[in-house]
Amino acid sequence: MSTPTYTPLANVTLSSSASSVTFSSIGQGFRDLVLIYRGSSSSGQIGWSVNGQSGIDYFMTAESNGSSNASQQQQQATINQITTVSDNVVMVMNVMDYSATDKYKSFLVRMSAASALTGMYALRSNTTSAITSLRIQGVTFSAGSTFELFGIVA
Amino acid sequence: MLIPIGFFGGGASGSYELIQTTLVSSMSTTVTLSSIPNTYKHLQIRATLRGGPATNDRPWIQFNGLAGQNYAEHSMYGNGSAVYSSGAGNQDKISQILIPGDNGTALVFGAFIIDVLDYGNTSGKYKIIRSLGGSARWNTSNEVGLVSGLVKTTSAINSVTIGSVNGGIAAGSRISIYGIKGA
Repeated sequence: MSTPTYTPLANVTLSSSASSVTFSSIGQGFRDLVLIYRGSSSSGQIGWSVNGQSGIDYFMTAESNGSSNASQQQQQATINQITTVSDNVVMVMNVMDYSATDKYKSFLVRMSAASALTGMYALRSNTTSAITSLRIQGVTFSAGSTFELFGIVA
Repeated sequence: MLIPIGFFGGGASGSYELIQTTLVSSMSTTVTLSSIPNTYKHLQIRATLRGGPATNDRPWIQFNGLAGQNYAEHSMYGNGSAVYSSGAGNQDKISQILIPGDNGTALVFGAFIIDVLDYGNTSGKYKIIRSLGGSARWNTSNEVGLVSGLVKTTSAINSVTIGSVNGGIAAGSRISIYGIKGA
């Protein structure tokens, strides 16, 4: 029997709208995390934070809305920088080496909202601590939106 | 909403399997993952990389030790100011998105997810890769982008070599390769 490698850790469908979703008590037995968000929300920009920390984080973005392209890089506290729209959104967030304590944490994100935009993002949380909680925030997520968290073994 | 992990979790069946992980312990000119078995349908490489002795570096990837004019690439990337694209044929490797070099800000790595599709096919197909990569830094050269690559070999892929323009993959870098089973 093969060893599970891409392991579902959490799967939630919102029964009512929520301004954030936090995954807590994340175990350290994996190498990467993958968060998949599908749903709708208020339009705006999705952000993230780890381990309940605030502080300076970093992002690099490249987005296209069908008529123009844009790229930004920035450092700031409380980053909400992943553009989303109101409906039919899929976001895949890869948290790389989340349990490593010898590096800052790198994220790779793809945002797909076929009616409005496509985007790719590199993010960094300036912590060398292992990530034990992950919070997605910045917009009001609608009831029926789903969030799935997976752990990838290495 | 707070979701405690473990309440919904469970084990998955083995359709996505770890083949190898390499943790780089000291600056290495290149890193090669070899002896990749031909028992999967696709491969996925997941990596956190820091480059050679420079502020910035650009990693590259080769397969089966193949050099010469056996690769083509196209990329689309943002650099913090604008979105660009580039392409090249007849290359001796496939370039990837810019990452921190080992002289750059400490503890910062670039990240990559590289899919190698139908890697084991020996029925006359060249191999296709696609990648998402980038890093987030401030006030320095920086990119996030997509790369599509062509590997002009009809042989099964059995090794992957990663290096960089500035000649090194730094300590702390991690390269994992996974196999994805077909139906």
